[in-house]
Order: sequence, then C-alpha cells, then structure tokens
Amino acid sequence: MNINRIFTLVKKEFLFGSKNFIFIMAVVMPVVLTLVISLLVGTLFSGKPRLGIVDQGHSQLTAKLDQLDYLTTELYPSAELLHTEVERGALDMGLVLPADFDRRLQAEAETGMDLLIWGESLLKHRTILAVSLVRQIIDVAGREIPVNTALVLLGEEANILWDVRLFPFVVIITILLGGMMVPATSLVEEKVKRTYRALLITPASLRDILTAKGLTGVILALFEGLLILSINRAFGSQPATLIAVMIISGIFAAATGIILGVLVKDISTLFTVIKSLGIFLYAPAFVFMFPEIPQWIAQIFPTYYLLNPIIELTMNNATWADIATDVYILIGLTIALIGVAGFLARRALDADA
Amino acid sequence: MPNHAITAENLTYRYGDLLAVDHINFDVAEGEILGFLGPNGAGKTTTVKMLTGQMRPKEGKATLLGMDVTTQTEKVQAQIGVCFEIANLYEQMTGLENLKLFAQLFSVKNFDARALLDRVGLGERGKDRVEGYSKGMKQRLMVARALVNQPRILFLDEPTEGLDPVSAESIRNLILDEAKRGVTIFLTTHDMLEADKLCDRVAFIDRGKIAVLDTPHNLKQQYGKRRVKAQVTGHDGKLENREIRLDTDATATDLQKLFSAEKVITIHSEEASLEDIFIQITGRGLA
Repeated sequence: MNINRIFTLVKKEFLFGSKNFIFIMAVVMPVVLTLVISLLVGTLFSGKPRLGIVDQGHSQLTAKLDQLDYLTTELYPSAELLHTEVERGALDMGLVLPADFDRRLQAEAETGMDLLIWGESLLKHRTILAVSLVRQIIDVAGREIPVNTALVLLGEEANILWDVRLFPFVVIITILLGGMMVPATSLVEEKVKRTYRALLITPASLRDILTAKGLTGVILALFEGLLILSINRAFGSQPATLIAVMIISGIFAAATGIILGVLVKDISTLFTVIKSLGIFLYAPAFVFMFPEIPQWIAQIFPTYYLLNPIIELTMNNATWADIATDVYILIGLTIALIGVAGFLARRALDADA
Repeated sequence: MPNHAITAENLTYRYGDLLAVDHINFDVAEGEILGFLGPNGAGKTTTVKMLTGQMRPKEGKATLLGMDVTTQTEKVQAQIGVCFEIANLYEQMTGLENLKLFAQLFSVKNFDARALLDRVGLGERGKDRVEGYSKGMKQRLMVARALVNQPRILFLDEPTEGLDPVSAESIRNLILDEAKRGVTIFLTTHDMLEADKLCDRVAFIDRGKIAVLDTPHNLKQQYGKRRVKAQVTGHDGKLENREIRLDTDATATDLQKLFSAEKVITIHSEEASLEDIFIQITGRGLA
C-alpha cells in the first residue's frame, strides 16, 4: 500500500465524487433529517433553559442548580461578563449571588441577589428557571414548605420523547449513508465506466483503490456523525471513546459498502439491493424506537453493535465497561467484513477482467 | 542479439474450459513496433491484459524489460502506458485533471499536462469536461494518458478504431513519434492497412495461437502472389479479366501473348495485402 497514492485517490473521491447525487445526499440528508425532527418533535430550537451564575461565595445554591438536568448552568467570573451574555441572548437568565448569601439565608437575615433576564427568552424558560430557583433557595435555607403536593402522572408512564426515539435512526442513517453508500456507489460507477481498469494499470494496487474508497466513507461518516451529535448536543461524558467507536463504525459501514460495490454490477441493482437490505440494516433503530418491542431482538442484527455503543455513550452516559462487549463484537465483525471485502474484490474484479 | 522489451513464454489463459490464449511465445525488441493482428475473440486483448499485469497467466510467463510481470507488477506498470480500446476516462473531470490524476498516481515529478495535451491536439480543450469531448478527442486523450509517465513500452488497443481520418492520422503520427523516441510499441488492431503502415513486424493470432510472426515485407514475399491483372476486350466486345503471375518461367511469354493477341484496356500489378495473407494462413477473415 502506498500512502501518497491513497491520498491522491481520496482527494479525487472528495473533489469529483462530491458532484455525485449519493455523496450530496450523504452530506445533506442527516442534517436535514435532524433539523426536521428537532423542529417537529424535539427541543433543538427551544432547548433547555440556560442559566448563568456569578457566585461570589461558593453558595450551595449554585451546586444544587447545577444538578438539575433540565437546566443548563454555567459559571461566570464577573457580573459584567454575565450582563453582556444575557444581553446578547446567550443566556435566558443571569444570577449574581453575594458572598454571604448562604449564611444570611440560613440566619433568616435579609439578603438579596441580582437576576438578569434576557428580554426575548421564552416564557416557559423563565417559568422553569424562576420555579427552580425558588425551590432550591428554600432547600438551601433549610425550611419546609407548608404545602404537600400530590403528583398525578397522566399518559404513559414510560413516555419517551419522539426526538429521543428517532435519534438512533438518524445516527444509523448518517453512518450508513456516508460510510456505506458512498464507497458502494463510487465503486459501482468505476466498474460501469471501466475507469478502475485504467487505475489498475498504474502502480496503484487494488488494495490502494479500495482503501481510498473505504477511507472516503469513514471520513464522511465520522464528519457527518460529529455534526449530528453537535446539533443534538449529544457528546456524552466520554467524547474520545465516542469518536473511537464512530471511527470503527465508519470502517464497518465502509467494508459493507465495498462488498456491495464489488458484488453489484450497476447502480440500479445497487439501489434494489440496498432497499432489500434496508430492514436488516436499520432494524436495531426501529427496535430502539419502540420500547414495547423486546429489546434483545435488536442484538440479532450486526448494525446493533455499532448503534448501541453510540446510543449508550450519547444518551445514557455509559462508561467503557458498559459498552466494551459490544465494541469488541463490532471490531470482530469489522475485521471479518474487511477480509471478505478483500477476498471478493480480488475474485470479482479478476473475473470481470 | 537485440535486447527484448517484451518476452512471452508459453503464455496461456483459460476462461473456464475455453482456451483463450494457447501457449504463445514471442519477443519484441526494444524500440520495435509489433502489430498484434487477429479477429475479435482471437485472444489479443487477453494477451495484452497478461502482459500489462491486469490478469495472471494460467501458465507460462511474461517478462517486460527483464521483469516478471506477475511478481513485479508494480515496477512493470511504472514503465508502461496502456491505451484501452473503449474510452474509460473520468468524464466529470477536465482533460487536464484526468492527466494530472494519473501523473500523481505514477509519481511523475514536474509534469506538464498542457504540453502533453498540445501534443495530441487538445491544448485548447484542456479545461473542458471530458463528457463534452467527441470520440476522436477522447481517444487522443486516452493516448495522452498512456504517455503521462513517459513509458518505455506502450500498449495500444485498437487506437484508431472508429475514428475520423484526421484523428486517426494524428494518432498514427504520435505512434511513429514515440517509436522514434525509442519506445517499444505493442499495437493491437484488426486494421491490416494500419499495421502495414506502422509495424516493424506483425503477429497473426487466431484461436489463441500465433499463426505467424514476421515483417510485413517478408510475409508478402512468402505468402503473396505477385501478379498482373488486366482488362481486355473479348471477341464479343465485352470486358474480360486476365491474370498473369509474376516470377514464373512463363511470365515473359504470357505477357507478350497478352499484348499481341488481345486488346488491353487496363493493366496493373498487384501484391498481396496482409488481409489476404491472414485469410490464406488462417482460412478466415478478420471480421
């Protein structure tokens, strides 16, 4: 294998393949899908209420507010900076706590705090922030509220928001479109137009050509995946592990794409095969979408082992120990797919020659 | 003894039960133009694929510039240029981009794509996408692409097939220029006139075997019938054909008799074409 030649071929794929319909789809579709889902059923454009705090005395209130997962809190070093951030709309609310806030509160002495509110913030955000603030102040003061609240849950108890249900679907589409479809269509086009023959009489080997196509898929899947996670603010607590898993998933998808590209003779057949394989590839995402379905069913499908670690890391703050088994299986499957892709490529292209 | 640029020893290829190339042996000297002639399906393209490392021979060995094609494929491919019969260019790219891509794959330093395009008469169209080129232009670009790495051996598969006379002539001139530069040329064609014009030697391949390999001149000497063809007015006033073979004991008498006894309307000498010789040797034409 020659790195320079692989780089030349990857550059060719990005410069000239990017005019291809599938390439454009792979770049645009996941983003559009994410934005549409977020707009229709999600919280992307409203998000969590954002609270900025300037804490001059290490108040317990700051820690308590920070623990609330339905708020986004951020500490600021100065009241001036906080003022600027609220004014420009980066925060819904800004809170300036004096140095002796907790002591005075607990001593039942009079105290104060400055509350800055962005004029264009949503009413629901202001309400959530105000109610949360009052509840936590009472908590810090150590007093009981003379009201007992009876909670009555209406609707399904295990209700999961639709943007959460659809997130695995967006993730798998992102990885498979970029990682699998781009190398597959590129290889089929080279076969149909016989350009791969011209490449094969240069010093570039079949391995160089396939590696370049696979690498294009991996880069695209990774880039798009990171973009989708950024839009969804879903990097979890272990971003490095997440990126590593996404790279392996990209390689898995690219190897599958190479196998399809080698076996399929033309673009229309490729689309027919993809449609037939669709349920097999996307099945784990559908299982995740409907928690009523026994979740073990997803494990039957190979794509579960790329999807589950990503979902666990992004949505459930999983650790390496939680996902290690799935990742090892994913690595095993990926190595097997690379082996099959190499073997089939040599055989099929020889036969085609 | 000349250095051999190409050597084929018992080169054999089978597609299942079909023996496409049957234990062929030949050498091509450095700087020589060898014409590889035969009808469709004779085994020409399969032979080229084995010589250029695209296919591994089932038996035998191909050596290019002293290197075994099977074991030193990459080194061999760095020294050769191949022009395919069917255009396989990147049509979304411009002519310049096509050449630059291949120059990078061959690791050519200081590559002047524009000069090469000028050589094939495409200098003005270098920045246009290939999808807008005519068939002749694409074929010229294919030849230019084969020359990107300044190859020592050039394989040309039907380079003028289906081209207009001007494009065909410009490609023939390019082939002769390369030959003058010392490049060995392996020309696959079924155009016998082209082979006669360009080639130092020609090989006739039929049903996977080389039927004959020699210079066009020697083949004509050996297999050709040198003769004179005449049209005369017969007794009833109609035109009749007369044929007199040259180089026989009776030639002089027959010619004298022709002019004295008959009214000769036209007369011209004829030598056998390569196509005639091919039919004579293989028993079938080139179609």
